Amino acid sequence: MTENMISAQHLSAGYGHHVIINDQMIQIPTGKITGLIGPNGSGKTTLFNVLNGFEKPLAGEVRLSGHTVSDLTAKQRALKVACLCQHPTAPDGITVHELVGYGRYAHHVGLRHSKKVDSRAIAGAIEAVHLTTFTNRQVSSLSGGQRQRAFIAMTLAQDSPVMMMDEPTTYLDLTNQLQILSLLQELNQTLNKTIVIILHDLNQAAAYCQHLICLSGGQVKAVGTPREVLTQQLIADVFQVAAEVTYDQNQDCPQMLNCHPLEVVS
Amino acid sequence: MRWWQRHLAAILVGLLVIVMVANVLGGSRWYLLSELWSGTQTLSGKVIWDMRVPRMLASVMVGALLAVSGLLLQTLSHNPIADPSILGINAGANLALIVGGVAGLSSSIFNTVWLSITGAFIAFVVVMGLALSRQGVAPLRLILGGTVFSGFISCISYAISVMTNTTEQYRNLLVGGFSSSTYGQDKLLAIVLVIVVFGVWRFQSGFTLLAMDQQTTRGLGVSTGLLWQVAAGLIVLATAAAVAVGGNIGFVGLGIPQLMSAIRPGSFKQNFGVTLLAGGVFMTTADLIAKAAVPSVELPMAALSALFGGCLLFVMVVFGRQVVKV
Repeated sequence: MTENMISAQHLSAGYGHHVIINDQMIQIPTGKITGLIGPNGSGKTTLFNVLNGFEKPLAGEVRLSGHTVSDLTAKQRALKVACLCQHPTAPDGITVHELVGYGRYAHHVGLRHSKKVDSRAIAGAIEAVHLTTFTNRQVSSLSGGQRQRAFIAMTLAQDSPVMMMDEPTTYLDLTNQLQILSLLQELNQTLNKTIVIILHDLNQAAAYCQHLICLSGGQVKAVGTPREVLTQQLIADVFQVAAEVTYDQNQDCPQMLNCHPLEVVS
Repeated sequence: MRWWQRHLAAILVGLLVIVMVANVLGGSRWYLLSELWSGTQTLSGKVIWDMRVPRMLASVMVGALLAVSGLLLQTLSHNPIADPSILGINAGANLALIVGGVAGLSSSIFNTVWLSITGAFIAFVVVMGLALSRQGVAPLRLILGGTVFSGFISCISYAISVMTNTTEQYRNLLVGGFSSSTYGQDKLLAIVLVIVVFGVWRFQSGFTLLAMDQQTTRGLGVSTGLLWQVAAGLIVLATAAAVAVGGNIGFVGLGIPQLMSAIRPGSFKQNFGVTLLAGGVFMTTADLIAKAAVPSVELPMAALSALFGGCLLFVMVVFGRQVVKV
């Protein structure tokens, strides 16, 4: 049995009286890339925001390596989970080095912090995302893919065991999408990060995630490896899409072909 | 980066020294530089050391405080147009001072301080309350609500002083100016300035991170609630002290941080120092113009400042800077 970095039983989440996730069990395995998939409005972002501690669950609790997430202070939480939202914005006129340095905030206690440790972490993070030659460039002068990598470096500098990202590839072209996903794979392998990502592209989710959680209408519909989760039946049930599912030589990476919608919604 | 961007702080310090000296020498009568050392026995020495120096010090510090509270407010609300005067915070402090005065409270420094802090605080709470929605502070509601509220409060201030025949007495408060500044007031401003600078310095990394979107800021481990309270406290304190001494002067908090970020774009941490200095330079220059431009007439500071702020806002709109982020 694999160990779980994050786990929650009987978890309910939502806003005010509006319950979106109702009484679900969620487990995020340690050291793997977990993908959250599901159609729009299925509760992915709501789940994302309780797992990372931004919102308190309506019922149940999220346990993160032995701690209850909602009991942690903002800084304690940030030391365990680094989070990148969909459209991060940076102030004008700052360099990549400064942006990545923001990731060190949670490590600063009062006004005391080690400049040495900070600058080593910053340089390491910039190197890990292959932006070393851009260290002193303005963030605003970078291309979309480079900027996203700079933000990933910022979350890396946070030096937390878990990294969570909400659709890290939106608005990027295909090359950059694949580069970002490969980068996450690299970070997972070399730095042993537990990574949770929300993805829309099922083929990318199948190729880059080792574990998938499929949500629909606030319910967990399927959990497991891509091969276990992404079946023709599930794609039809959850996404209302007919697709042929093929597999690569190793028989573990399903790919969807010839997709078309089952019902045309007027 | 150009050389003047790199040495912006040094340039501003130089400018500040020049305008501070010019402000002391200038006025309805100009003095010579040598008269600064003529001692306090002579008439010119008395005028310089008892009237002009405290006035100059007040204008420097009020300018710095207003500019910093504008910068804080813009960072907090994610909106480049936010300014304590636009949001009615100045007007609130102003009204409280006039109400207190009309109600018969003596205008001791202690009274003016607590009155203006109370007024500024209430106005801040009301405007923020108007702007709060489920997603946090709604920028458009903040600006519109603040502008309407500010106008409303200013009208009440005028109405009260007109009805009680005290417009002359409260001229300084209503139109702004430093003609009656004293060393006592300077002491008050200095204390507030130290508190504000220390508070900002202590929380500067947090404020810098607030400039990013809310989700990213929270992800980095910033407890936004605490920072909001600290910033609100500093804004109210800075604005209240500035109004208690200089009256209702608007647009400094809007214009100076804007100008600095146009000259040298940067983060909160990088811009704080130069904004502080530039606020002082601007206000001291404006005060010199107010007392020296037309002999024996004291120009209203609020009008001068609004003239500058209005022009700047106009330029911002014309040259397409995103003025209101929605």
